[in-house]
Amino acid sequence: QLEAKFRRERIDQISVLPVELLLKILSWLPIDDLVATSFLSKRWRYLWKEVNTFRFALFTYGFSRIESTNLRLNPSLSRDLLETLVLEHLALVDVPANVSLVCLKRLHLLYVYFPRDESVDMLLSICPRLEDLVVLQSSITRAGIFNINVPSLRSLFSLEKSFIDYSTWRSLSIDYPFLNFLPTRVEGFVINAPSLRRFAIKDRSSSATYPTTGTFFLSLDHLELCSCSVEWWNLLTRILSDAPRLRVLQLKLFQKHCAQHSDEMAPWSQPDSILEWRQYNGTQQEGEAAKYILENGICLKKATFYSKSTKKHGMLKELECVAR
Amino acid sequence: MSKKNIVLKSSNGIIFEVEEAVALQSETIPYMIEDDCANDTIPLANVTGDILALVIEYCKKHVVVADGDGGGSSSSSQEDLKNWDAQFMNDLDQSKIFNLLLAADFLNIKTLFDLTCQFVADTMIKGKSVEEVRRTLNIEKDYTSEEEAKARQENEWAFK
Repeated sequence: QLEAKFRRERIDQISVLPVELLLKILSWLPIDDLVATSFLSKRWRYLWKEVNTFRFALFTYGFSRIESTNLRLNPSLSRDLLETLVLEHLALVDVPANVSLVCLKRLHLLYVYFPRDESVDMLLSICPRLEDLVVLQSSITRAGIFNINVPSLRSLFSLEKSFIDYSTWRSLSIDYPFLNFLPTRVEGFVINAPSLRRFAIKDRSSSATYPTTGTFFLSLDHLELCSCSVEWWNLLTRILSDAPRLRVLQLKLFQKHCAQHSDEMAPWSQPDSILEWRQYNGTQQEGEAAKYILENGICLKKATFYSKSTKKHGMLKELECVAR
Repeated sequence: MSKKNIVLKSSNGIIFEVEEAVALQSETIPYMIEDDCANDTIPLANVTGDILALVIEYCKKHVVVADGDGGGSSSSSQEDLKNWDAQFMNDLDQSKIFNLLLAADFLNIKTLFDLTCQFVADTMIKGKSVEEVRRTLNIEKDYTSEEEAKARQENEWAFK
């Protein structure tokens, strides 16, 4: 076998890679493995300090409640460089007050257990330039994403494991080979994120606590709603009425018995807007909702319905008749 | 709709003809087409034939899936794809893996690049002792014992 041959001939093929590529490889390692690479050889000694992604992870099946991960951001580590922080399977109790992640742009909270809601606020408050936030939840993580006060935020993904598709997975550059918690409800909503451009919610019941006032998605361009919630329609109309610049709406619904239409949809008049509906089944309720959106999306440039149903031609014919 | 084909030529002169959608997963190739640096054949001076064959195998597999139900394909096929990726990487020896990494970087195929980087990190470094990593990757220890002790002391904080 070739590998054995290389081993025999002792060809070191990794150390000769360009630094940028080595850094990309290193950025996939959990923090302790990352730091340990500095002991390999002189070539590797300071490489890890240039990695701008840190991953803290506890690979345990049982949920060990560690007192505090304490974000072990040692002074010897250049915090100015840190752009991506991935916290995975951790309990985050304390956020050290003297730490500020001034350059952090991406924060992924993957099954992070926050015993108190304030911990979320505190963590976000030390990230003044945060642009992308990914929150992956399960029944034990409990973290409500209430009260997100991050003016710089541009993209928010709130996901439950069962709703993540492979492309999202890879595009988020995250992977979870283990643990299969039953999904549960995600609560809470963005309060202050005027720069938010992309917002994806994939879960069961996101509408639970959508605040009636005080939420604006002034810059929201792209909304992806993937929901099982009976309340999805009301959630959608509320976000739409708070998002005057929404251009792209992607829907994928799992709820057969769709909601009571208690809210009227405001006219959606963004020029060149796009609607994309995946797994459209053409149930009566879906049909009504689709027609309603087509009627109110007065500047829709393109509407795409994906369907696996054998009756899709009839369903789509029906939609074509919508007066526009 | 007629499908346009693109002809790629490896550094050792091997010719591959692929559908445009397959080739366009590379973000480098469109520039090469635009630059007109090849009217009919795109020469890839940095990629050998055996590695290019692997890249194309990967791109073919992934183009089919992206083509499906608007990305909303069923979870089983996503699961399949994930397993396929794992199997694809597992079948490669170290030399091919590093050459694939360089090719994915040169051709700018982000998913393949990430997949390869993650595979190297997960299977050759993660969870291994320093000695194991050195052995796996044939890294020569050029530290004196004092230097190594010093490096360890410096970074002790990460291992409490």
